Amino acid sequence: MHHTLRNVILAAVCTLALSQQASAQQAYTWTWVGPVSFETGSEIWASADMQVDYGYSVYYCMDARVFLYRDGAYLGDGYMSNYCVNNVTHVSGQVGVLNNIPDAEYTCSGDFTATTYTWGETADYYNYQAYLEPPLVYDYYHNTYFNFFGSGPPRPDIGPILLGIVYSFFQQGNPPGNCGDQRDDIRREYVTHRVNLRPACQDFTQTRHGTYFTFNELNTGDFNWALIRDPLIVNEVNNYGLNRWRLEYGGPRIVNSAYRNPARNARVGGVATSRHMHGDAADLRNVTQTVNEYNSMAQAAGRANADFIEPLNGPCMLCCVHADWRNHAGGYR
Amino acid sequence: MPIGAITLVAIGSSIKFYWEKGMTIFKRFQFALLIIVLSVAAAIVTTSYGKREDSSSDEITQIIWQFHDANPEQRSAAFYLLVKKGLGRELSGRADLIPHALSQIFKSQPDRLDELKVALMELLERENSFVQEHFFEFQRTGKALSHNYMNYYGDLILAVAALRDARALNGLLGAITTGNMATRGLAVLGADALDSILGKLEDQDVNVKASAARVLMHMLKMSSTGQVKLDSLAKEKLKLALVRSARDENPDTRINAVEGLAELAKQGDPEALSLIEQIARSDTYEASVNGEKSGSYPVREAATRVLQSLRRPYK
Repeated sequence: MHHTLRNVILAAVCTLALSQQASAQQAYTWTWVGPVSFETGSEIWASADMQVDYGYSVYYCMDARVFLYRDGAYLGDGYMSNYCVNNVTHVSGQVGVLNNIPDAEYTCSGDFTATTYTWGETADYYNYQAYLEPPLVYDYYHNTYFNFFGSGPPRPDIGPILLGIVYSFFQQGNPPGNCGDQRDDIRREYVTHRVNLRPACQDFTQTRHGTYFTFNELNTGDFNWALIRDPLIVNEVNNYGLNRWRLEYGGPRIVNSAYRNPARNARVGGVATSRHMHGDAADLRNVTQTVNEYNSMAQAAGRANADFIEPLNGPCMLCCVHADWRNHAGGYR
Repeated sequence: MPIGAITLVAIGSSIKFYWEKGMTIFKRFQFALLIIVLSVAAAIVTTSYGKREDSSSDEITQIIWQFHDANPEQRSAAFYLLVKKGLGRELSGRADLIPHALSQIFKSQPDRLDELKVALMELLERENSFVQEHFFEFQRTGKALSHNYMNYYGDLILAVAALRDARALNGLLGAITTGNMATRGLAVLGADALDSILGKLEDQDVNVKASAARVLMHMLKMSSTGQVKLDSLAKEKLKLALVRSARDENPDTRINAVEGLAELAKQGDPEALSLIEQIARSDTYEASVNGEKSGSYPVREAATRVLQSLRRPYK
């Protein structure tokens, strides 16, 4: 009964929100309360599904960002992945993830609120429908997903959760983002080069660096900003990452390539799926270009728990060794 | 099926009703025609309904079929289509979500679970062969594999490693030098994989040999946390192999073996501890950086680090 009532209220709020015509920064809001608890490393998932019927062909991108607060205090935010399509008359599908929750224990209770913003790039809007599906929580600790509504596995430590989602659409002509600097250009590149990643302003850095590698070494892009994901620059004592790789190798290494903005990536022959644009990959130079040195560097990368090391006949060939930490958790801050 | 059943019940009820009322021959003929038309319609509706139910399964069949395509781009496209189907959206670079995507697919296709797993495992074996065959071409022409292919290969290894299926052994063994996803994926197979991994310690390729030693280290770590079950015979085999690898001519194999021996030492093996101490004192390998002697002794340093960590109180 309780759930039914809640769902009816939700449906009413959603219907009210969705019945309104799109206008600049039109907000769609709904709120619910559900039992849930977090563990360190949990991820919040907010799924949004959007249906657009244009009646004529458009190029369309949609994106969103989730901000999470507890008891009014900012906890973290994350980026909802995009959905970009060209030459379509109908668009659907959008899912996002909040993956930047800072390390902390979230088994306690508290009022959580989340805000989602989204934008689209399109020739026009009309006759659209939008839905936000129930966000999911991915619990790294227990390796399970559960529904934010509380319909997943029972949680031992429950606390009241208040999640409000504001779902905003920006009309035609609005650029994807308003960082007010070069970051806007980089973010546009992610759209124009069809990279399936939509970084937010605060994901970029001008300072992140490692024990052995400066920001300038890690930023091998065209701008003064870079995306550098945690696993790449985590301290070597964690037994993984680039610093560990350097330590395991036992000597200084030149970074051939680490972060690349999409345009740069395309110029050097990279593809839209390259890990370099996600900021969790590095190519270290094989100075002597010998197989022996290649093997030593590859083995050192293995001891640095690199998730994937490209074979010798990969794009680096004998010039460098590519390693990435694609399967390690971690955000951009 | 329910639509067909309802239609048949409706027809049956109608027949009973009208026959009881009494009908002329002409009306009976008309009625017989009506029944035939209704039956055909019911058959068509039932068939198309069944087809809709099967469409998802047909798509899976198509994907598995495409795994066999000679063109690696087609195989890659099929793999990502499968992932997208499970995830309900594009992967968006979140490689760590591949296991979740697959588990969703497996849940939605329980009757094809095994077929899908086998198809993925065979796909990895196919890609390993492709990479190996390409290596000869690479030596001849200097033409490398594409960035796209490399990303796909990595994601596929992740997918197969996540299956935790003993039948993935050959696929993961073929990718043993590609990093942590493959080595941990092998280690988690435990005793089922042990003999094959021990065989790789004799491989001519130093990368394969060193990576095999690393798998053994992971396996011991996993056994200490209960993730992998090893009986005493398996543990003994593993220990002998590590002791032998700690004396291997390849320094990377020795470093990986030292880390494996550290796990045995943690479990109270005095022989393992004594061997690590000996290596920390006397391993002669001096690393060369950029072709020149560096003054760094990586094997000795690795053994020293291990000894320091062994002396540190455990949390």
